[in-house]
Amino acid sequence: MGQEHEEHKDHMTPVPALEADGITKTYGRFPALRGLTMEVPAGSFLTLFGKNGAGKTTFLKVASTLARPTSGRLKINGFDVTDQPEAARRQIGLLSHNTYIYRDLSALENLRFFGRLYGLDSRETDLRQLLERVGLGHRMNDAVRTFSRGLLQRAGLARTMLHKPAVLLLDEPYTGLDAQAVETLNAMLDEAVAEGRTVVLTTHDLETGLRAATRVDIIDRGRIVYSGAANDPETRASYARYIRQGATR
Amino acid sequence: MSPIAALVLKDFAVELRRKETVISMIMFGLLVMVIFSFAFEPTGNDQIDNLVAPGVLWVALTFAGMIGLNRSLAIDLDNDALQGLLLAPIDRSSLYVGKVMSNFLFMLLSDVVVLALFVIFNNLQIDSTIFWVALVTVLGTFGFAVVGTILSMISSSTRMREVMLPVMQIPLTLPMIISAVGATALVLDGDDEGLSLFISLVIAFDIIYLVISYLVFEYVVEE
Repeated sequence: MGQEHEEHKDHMTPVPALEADGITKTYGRFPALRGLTMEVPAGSFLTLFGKNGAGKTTFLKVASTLARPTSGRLKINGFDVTDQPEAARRQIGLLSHNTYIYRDLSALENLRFFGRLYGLDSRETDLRQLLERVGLGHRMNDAVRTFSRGLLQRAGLARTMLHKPAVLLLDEPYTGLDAQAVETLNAMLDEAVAEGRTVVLTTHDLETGLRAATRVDIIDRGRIVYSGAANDPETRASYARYIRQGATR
Repeated sequence: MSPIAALVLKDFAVELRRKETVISMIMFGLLVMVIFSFAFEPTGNDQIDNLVAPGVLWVALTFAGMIGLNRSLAIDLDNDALQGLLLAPIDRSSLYVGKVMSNFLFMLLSDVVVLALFVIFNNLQIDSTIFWVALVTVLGTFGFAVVGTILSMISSSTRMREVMLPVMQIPLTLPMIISAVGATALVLDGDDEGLSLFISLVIAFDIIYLVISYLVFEYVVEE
């Protein structure tokens, strides 16, 4: 348990699942994130809406320690992604449209490998059960190279859930999924939230984003330009204005 | 199982399926050895032959190794699997060590074939000469894998990575290659004087680059 956790415990303040304070990220001279600040309470479901190039993916990369912030602090469950990256990575599971698995290995071999990398002592039956849950029971021994886009994404989902992360970061996870795979993903996300995990989802699609979200943020040119409850009618109207006019007001 | 061992096992499992890295290296090394053996026909004069042979061996090992590094990197770039590795809650330097070990072992497999041809083409006696040539080869190959692994990661984000890798790798490994060629030449000449200096240079190169690469790997792979 890190020092940050202890400090929060002492004051009996719940630790936010994700806490970003003035995050900036520049690529060369291009500012992808410009002082992004947000706090995501544990157990909530946040959807990040934004156009292409708004900074959604960059934000998730910083949150998952794949990219180093140029300035600002970001903590995952109290662990600073810059100072305690390994502890922060243990808390997160990242799924994007790229599934980050080896196509020459089978789904089961991929899970075995990533399990070893995460230091898990998962039994073979646990891995098989996980693959059954994502609907890959019948293909678990086939090389991932032979999978369709939907099956590939299911294998990626299994990799993401393997270590039971407290915070799920999902970057356009519905891309290329068929209806059945969407249902499976939705069911697993609902289950994750019911178990108290936190979900941060990025998407362009309003209905997909609002389905299970408790909160919605709209990100534009590297800044949060709107934040509201998912069931607030103003949220839907703001997103519509953002898409049509490029502004939420 | 340690993450390093897991990485090496994974790379071998993938290689068993793809059969690309080691076979490409062996084929290339074999071709270089054959072409050079025709281009520089043995003169019968040991002094002249021993002058050419170490260069031929190290040209074959260097270029075969380069092909292996590019193929090995391709395993991790396919489907962005490298990002999956970077998400693991482990010290990223151990990813580097694991990848160095895989590349080194792949290169050793190819080295065995190239060395066998080298022994045949140069009519080497099965004696301590072979042991010393093999030792220099192993040490040189390790240094090549150490530098090549970090440079292949750097070149992975460039557009012409297959060209960029040799452009960066050859100049950086030149001191090690010169030392290894020198050591091999002395071994073939049966001249012990100066051999330990060349071998020490190769070992020093291996250690210095291993430490530097280990320390900077995190910054190389992070955006």
